Amino acid sequence: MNGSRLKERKRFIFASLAPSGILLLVFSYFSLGYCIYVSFLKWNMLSAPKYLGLRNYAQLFTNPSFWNSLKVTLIYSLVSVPSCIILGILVGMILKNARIGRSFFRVMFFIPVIISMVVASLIWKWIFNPTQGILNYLLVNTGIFGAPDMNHWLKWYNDPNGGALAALLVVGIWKRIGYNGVIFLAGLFNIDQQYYEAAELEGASSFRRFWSITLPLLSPTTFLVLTMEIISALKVSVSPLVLTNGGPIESTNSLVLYIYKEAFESFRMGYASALAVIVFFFILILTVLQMRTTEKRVFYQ
Amino acid sequence: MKRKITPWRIILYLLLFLIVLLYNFPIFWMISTGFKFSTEIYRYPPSLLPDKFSFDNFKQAWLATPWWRYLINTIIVATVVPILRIILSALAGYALTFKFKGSKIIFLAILGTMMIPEETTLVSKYIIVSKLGWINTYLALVVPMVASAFSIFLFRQFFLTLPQELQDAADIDGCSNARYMMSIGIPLSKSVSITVGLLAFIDIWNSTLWPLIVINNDKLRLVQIALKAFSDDRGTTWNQLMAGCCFVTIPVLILFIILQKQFIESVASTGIKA
Repeated sequence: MNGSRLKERKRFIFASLAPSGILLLVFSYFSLGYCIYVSFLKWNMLSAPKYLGLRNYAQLFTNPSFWNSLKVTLIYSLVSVPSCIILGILVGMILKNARIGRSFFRVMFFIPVIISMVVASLIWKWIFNPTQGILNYLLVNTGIFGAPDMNHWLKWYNDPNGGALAALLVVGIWKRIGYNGVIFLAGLFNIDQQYYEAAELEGASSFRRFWSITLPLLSPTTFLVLTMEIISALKVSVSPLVLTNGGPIESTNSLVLYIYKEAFESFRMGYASALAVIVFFFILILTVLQMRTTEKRVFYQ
Repeated sequence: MKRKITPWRIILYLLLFLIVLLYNFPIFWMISTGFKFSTEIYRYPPSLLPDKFSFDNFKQAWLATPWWRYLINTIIVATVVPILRIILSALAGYALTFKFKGSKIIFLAILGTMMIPEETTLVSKYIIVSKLGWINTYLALVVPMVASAFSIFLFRQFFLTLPQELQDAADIDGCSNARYMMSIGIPLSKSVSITVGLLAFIDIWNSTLWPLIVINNDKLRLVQIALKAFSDDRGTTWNQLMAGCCFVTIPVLILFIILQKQFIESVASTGIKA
């Protein structure tokens, strides 16, 4: 290639990279840096910002609302992550073994994935409705949980001691099962069929085959889903916004919802940014941990 | 391995069918409630199917708020962003297949943006966008959404699978890089483009927090926000609310049914992300 062609190529490369590069630079790295900067300010976007130093952070760590939202988010993750993984593997196994109508079942499991979170939250809000919802009707009528106590059950989803959070968990898990199922299905198809044939020859039971072949060889996928689930659980925000608006008594005020409320309802931009910085570091640590472990390979042969 | 049809197998399939139906019960419940009259909503015990299938309630809900405007707004944004994202990501992905000084660092820097979740930069992005004067314009919805590291990654990986001879032949024939992209690169990358486009479409159609923050002009609202406002407005008329949910869901559901294979594969491809 001659010089002018090389020059032209250089120009082409630069011109092709520039739009995406600049946008990502501004809306990711600069945004993040700016977020850290704003976290040192007291600013409501109307009057001039005032430099506070680390006082937003100090305030944050002494604010029970912060610890509460951290607790809410952690409890949510602790229930949601394992449930999503176990149910996801189950759906993946079901889809793999359903030789007839696999694509039908795949589509059926996938429908909740494409429903938006706002719609999903509203539908479940209706199902959970204390006075007219169908779930309470079923619970009261069948009396699965002991004697039907109208007063108790009608209020369960307004219960700040876990009831409301349980409602959020149902929506979140319901929406993610199909997604994980599809990813696990791909992971299951990557497992060499030979292992199963060998196990069958040796007369291993199906449980044994699942435990000693499927689970270990599925571990790269499981680990991937684990990280995605943790990150997605840490970011939970739309379902509490629509379903409970963080209540009752902040019992569903997740970290990201807390950021949103501080910034766009109370206009405490600095304080909200300090919160965002903390959440960012949480997620960063998890991502780095994940990358480290992936390098070492969970997978062993 | 051929499996015999045994009664046990039939029972299993029936069970599976039942589970899948139960799993989709909320969707059914949304549609069924949408068909009900207000008087039926307050009935206890609730009826599984409406007494009478009539579109009256849908009509009422449709007329209660300018859904068509919100749908059109969303369709515009959800078309523009995917198209721009495909073009920009294809170009950047192609450029990153060349080795030049700093190419590795640039690639890593682009991938690094995936570690900064949108939720954590919500506040600072809002301040930036408002300083640019973009609040209540579609620039705020389109521009920050156009560039996507994952899409660039997908395109780059795809272009790397093309044989080097293709590029060499183009170079010998004096075909410029721009022409190469137009006549070879883009036509070959149809499946990646569909994946990137669909993912962008889902992103926009479902985005909630960001449009809620940057758009407060009712005329420019996107459909998810309109639905949220509708629910804040008439929280207890559940049949109207469920009809609203149907309006928001039906377009995506249709698209999903037409393109289900691509849809599922696109979303599953996010699994290779990490």
